[in-house]
Amino acid sequence: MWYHIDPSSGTPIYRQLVEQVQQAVASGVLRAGDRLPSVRDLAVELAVNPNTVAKAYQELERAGVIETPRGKGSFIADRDHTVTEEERLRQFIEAADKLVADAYRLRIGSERAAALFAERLAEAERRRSGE
Amino acid sequence: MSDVAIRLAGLTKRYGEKVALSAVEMVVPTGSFSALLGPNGAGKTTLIRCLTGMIRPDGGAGTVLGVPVGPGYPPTALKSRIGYVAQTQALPERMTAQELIGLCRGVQPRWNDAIVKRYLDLFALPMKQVVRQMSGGMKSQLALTLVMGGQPELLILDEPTMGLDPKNRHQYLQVLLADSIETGCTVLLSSHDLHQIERLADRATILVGGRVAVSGAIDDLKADEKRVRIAGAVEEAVVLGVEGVRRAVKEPGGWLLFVSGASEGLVERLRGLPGVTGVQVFSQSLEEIFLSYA
Repeated sequence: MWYHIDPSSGTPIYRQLVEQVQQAVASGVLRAGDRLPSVRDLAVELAVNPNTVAKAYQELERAGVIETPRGKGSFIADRDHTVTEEERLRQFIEAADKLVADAYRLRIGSERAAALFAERLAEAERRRSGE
Repeated sequence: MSDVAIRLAGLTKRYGEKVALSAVEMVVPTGSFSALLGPNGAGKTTLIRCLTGMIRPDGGAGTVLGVPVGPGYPPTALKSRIGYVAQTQALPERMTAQELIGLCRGVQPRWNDAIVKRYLDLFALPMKQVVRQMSGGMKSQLALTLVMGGQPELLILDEPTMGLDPKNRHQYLQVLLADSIETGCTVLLSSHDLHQIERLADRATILVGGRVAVSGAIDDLKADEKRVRIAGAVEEAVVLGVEGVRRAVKEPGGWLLFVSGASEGLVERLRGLPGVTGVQVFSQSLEEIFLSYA
């Protein structure tokens, strides 16, 4: 499994891994039940410190993106049952606030922003539901 | 086994008038992949030579794998537990890989032929070619093979991947990483390739002018060390007076600040300075942190 690591970016490498796994799930490349490589294998593959990979996996587990049943490896979790409703809402609102700031900065009006977002949602839905 | 492979306290080394190492404090946890960084002449090689026992420090104390660094260091028993790959590969020019392996097998108490064979196969090293006829990359690969064959507990590497092309370098680092994970061997790596270090290492110590500038887990360093741009007419003394600001560089319309121990509070304090009209915080890569000290 390949991920793009950019050491020249100020973003910690474990964060880069977390974001890319999340993107892979959002875009349907990784699906519920898919197995992730072991910490050791991914570390060696990417030539990245194993603690960095372990930290990324811990973060993904905390965010409910992956599950690690004891001794069985790491798997992409079903999207809804591991994280509380409250936590999911909190994360979504945080992301939405960033988008709202961008809309203001880029002078995209509320109506246009909402329409664009709906469009993107439908597009992602189409991709996921299988082409 | 102790949880600390290397601990140095106030280590000092002078060459006549010149201070090569000044009160160096450093901790390398067992099993970690630690980096030793610094500009040329910062004292990295001197420090490594103190650790391997090639030179003796003038002051301070330290332990390497539990053995005190001092007169009589390193005892013979310790020598075989430390693997050292030097910057300039000092392999005998007239010997073949086969002869060198035979030589090492004779002196290394924990020599393991299976490990050596795995490395030889992986690197596809010719057994009957003399070192003189080998490329720089092949010498680097052979040096690692000879050191790993002795199953060291502490591996010290000084610019080990010089002369390797990108493909071979990646392979070299992959096998190094895989084996250090497997064996729990502690790695101390000195290199100028900071992007490579940022991937591989979990900890870094930056030496500047023989002193430790910063040392710690790389993620902590990145969380702590920021650059902050502020806009507005503010006096230098005022910005330098803010806790955490260690350097200020004048820019058109404001200052670029180098801060340590960055926190939410720091940004607020800067924003609150009279005359400040804007504050922008930048995360730094390890290379940028290095440059901010070097």
